[in-house]
Amino acid sequence: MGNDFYRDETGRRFHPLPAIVIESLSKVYRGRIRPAIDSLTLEVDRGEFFGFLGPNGAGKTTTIKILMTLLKATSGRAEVAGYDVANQPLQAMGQVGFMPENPGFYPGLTGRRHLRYWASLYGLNRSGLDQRIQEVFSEVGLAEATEVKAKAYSLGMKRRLALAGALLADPPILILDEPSHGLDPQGMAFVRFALQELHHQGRTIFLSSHLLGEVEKLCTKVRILNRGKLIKVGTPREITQATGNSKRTLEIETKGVDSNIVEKLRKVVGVTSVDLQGTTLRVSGSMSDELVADINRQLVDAEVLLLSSRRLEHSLEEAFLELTGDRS
Amino acid sequence: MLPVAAKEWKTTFLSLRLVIVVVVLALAILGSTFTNTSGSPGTSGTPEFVTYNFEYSPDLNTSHLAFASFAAAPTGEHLSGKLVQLVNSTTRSPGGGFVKPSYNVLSTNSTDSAGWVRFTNLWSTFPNMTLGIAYPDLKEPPYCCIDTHRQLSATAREEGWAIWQELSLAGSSEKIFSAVFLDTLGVPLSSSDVFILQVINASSLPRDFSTYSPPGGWTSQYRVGTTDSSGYYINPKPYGSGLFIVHMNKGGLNDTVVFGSLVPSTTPAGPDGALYSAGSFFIPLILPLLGQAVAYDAVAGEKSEGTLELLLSKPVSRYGVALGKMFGVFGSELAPVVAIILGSAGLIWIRTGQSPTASFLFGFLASAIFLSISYSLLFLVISALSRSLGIALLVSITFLLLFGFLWNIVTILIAGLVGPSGSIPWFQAIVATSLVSPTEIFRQFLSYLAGGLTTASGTLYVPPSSWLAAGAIAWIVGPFTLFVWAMKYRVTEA
Repeated sequence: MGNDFYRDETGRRFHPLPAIVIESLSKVYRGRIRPAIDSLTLEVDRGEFFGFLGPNGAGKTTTIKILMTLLKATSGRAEVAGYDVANQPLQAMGQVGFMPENPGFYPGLTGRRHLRYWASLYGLNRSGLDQRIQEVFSEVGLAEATEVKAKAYSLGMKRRLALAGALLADPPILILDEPSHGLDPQGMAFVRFALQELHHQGRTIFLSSHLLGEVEKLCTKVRILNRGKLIKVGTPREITQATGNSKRTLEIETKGVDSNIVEKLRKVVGVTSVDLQGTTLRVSGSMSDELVADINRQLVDAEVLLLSSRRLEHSLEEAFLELTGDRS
Repeated sequence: MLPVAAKEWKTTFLSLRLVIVVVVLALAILGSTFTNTSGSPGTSGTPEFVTYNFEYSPDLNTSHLAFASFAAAPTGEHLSGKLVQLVNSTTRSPGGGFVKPSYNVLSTNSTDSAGWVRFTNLWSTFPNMTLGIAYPDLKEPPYCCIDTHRQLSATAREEGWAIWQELSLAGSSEKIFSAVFLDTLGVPLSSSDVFILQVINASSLPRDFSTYSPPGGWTSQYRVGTTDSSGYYINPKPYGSGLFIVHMNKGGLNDTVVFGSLVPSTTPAGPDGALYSAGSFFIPLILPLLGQAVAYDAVAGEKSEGTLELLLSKPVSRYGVALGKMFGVFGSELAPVVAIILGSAGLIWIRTGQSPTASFLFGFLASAIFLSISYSLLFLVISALSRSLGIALLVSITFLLLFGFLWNIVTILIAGLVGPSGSIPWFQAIVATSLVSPTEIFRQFLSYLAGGLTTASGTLYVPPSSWLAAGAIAWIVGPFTLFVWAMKYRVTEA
């Protein structure tokens, strides 16, 4: 199966070039004025698990469609595995497995027939094909349903079949548009597990998702797109730390807090709000180390019993909402 | 390209069942049309055959004779010295005709030098019988019928009577006109004057047309010749379509006959004609419909199912996908098209024992394949450019109605503005406007194969092959290019 995997000295597979390069890419749809993506530039390194975030209409799917040669860019260029998608689409598409947001199937074909058809489009030869198909089916947990027609598949099974199709040619790069969309919790857990596994195999994964929890857990790098422009790049931690500085919360389990103490804490410089519910005291503010120490000291001075105290991390979701300016 | 074609073929050859139903239905309909069109085989295929005039005279109270004359086609040569039989029917067929094995030979006589044979005293010698005259060399039932059951009338009119006949030219669809002029005793009236007048408006004819004469009478301007020694007049030229009055006159004896439509036929004779009449009606109805059924969802269907994005993101060129779709669609149609046409030819062979000529069959098949491919390409373009399956269906049906049915009317309306119906400019306008629709191009191809159409003046108009070829090529290359372009640049653009 001809792809451009290389192996390093430890035997781990890698791709020699940046997996995806996007340079000043713009797309204006016919009859529209506002570009769907506007001078987008980004690079996805080999082996990266890349989370592509953005609200609806931010341009994520447009970007993916240009990468997958489904749309022509108005200007700019994009490379997949070192191949320009506009000029060398066949080479580029040979290196990538794709799962669109709403993958479709031929209702009358069985799972196996689907894979056979797709394999023929990759030009995969007959010898070993059946074995490869079986392998892929096992990998996505669909081995039981290979002879069932697609019209009888559940949504989860369809996603698995689409993933099997993406993996068929053993591509070094996977581009997945909302792979968990519409799945039940078990389905989502499966996708998460499968993607982690695929990443460990050395593949570059380009994941577009609305599920920020999923992205936060999986991705090594996140890019946030809004209104066609890239507004943030970084690891999930970098992004959460770079945002929400003025709005962090210290959560303290206590015994013996009364309203006097709450009032006192509210007057501490840097504290924006104090909220007491039962034995749980939530103090919000910038929550610098000094401030946390100061609050703790005040509580100790007031002879309050401290059972536990932790600074709550700002979640990627909060960071995302803050960055995209949509906190409604 | 090949996997796409194979996949398309498999899905669009949708139910093999549907195709089988279509083919069987097509053959059944074609089969039933042949009953009407195949006719008697070999009327024009026999190199030399005999045409005969036959009359009998129940009005003559003396001899009650029957007489017939025999002439060879196409020359009109009188067949002398031939043995002719007077036969009687033992069983009468429902139509009143003779069935060959079921008659008895009563008497034989040979034709005279002018091809005439006479049998006399029929009513007294063979009373209460159904008689006929048979020419044994002719592979047809005896000429029917003299009914000696019938009462005789007493009067014998002293007048001439003319019998007209069409002589078919052997191996050709053209016919020439012949007439024989006799007195009531059956004596040929030689050197009689023969007048022919084309009737422009048939409704102006009096009911008893034998009294008709043109304004100013039968003057020499209508005179075309005289009868020969055997009372024959043979007009060597084929006549155009229309109605003709023939007046014959010698001394005090005269008669007038009417014959119509000696058309140089626009439908070829025999098996070709059978295929032609089936083709001009049925094929342009079924093939575009078949094309629509298999092509309109070839791309739009994948778009609405969501399979198109997966297909186009595989390492296959758009051109390859476009070609694959085309060949898949053509492949599903080719089998029924070839089956319908070869099946039709086979049916004709079974019914008549003759098969259509190879050139006609090939031309017909090529025209049908053109029809099929051009419509498929058109519907593929619609399929690729439509946003949804519903739009593809609606637009393709609109085009089907427009090109398959309405355009025929439009061509006639436009041609009506150009010239009077049946004139050469009218025909040219018809052909020119026909080039807009594949169905009409197909029909013009058939006219071309049939040797042309008869104009009002009786000549043939053959559609220019260069026009038809240009139209056909445009209808293949245009949609092909448009479809490849649409697959390359439009199909996934929102």
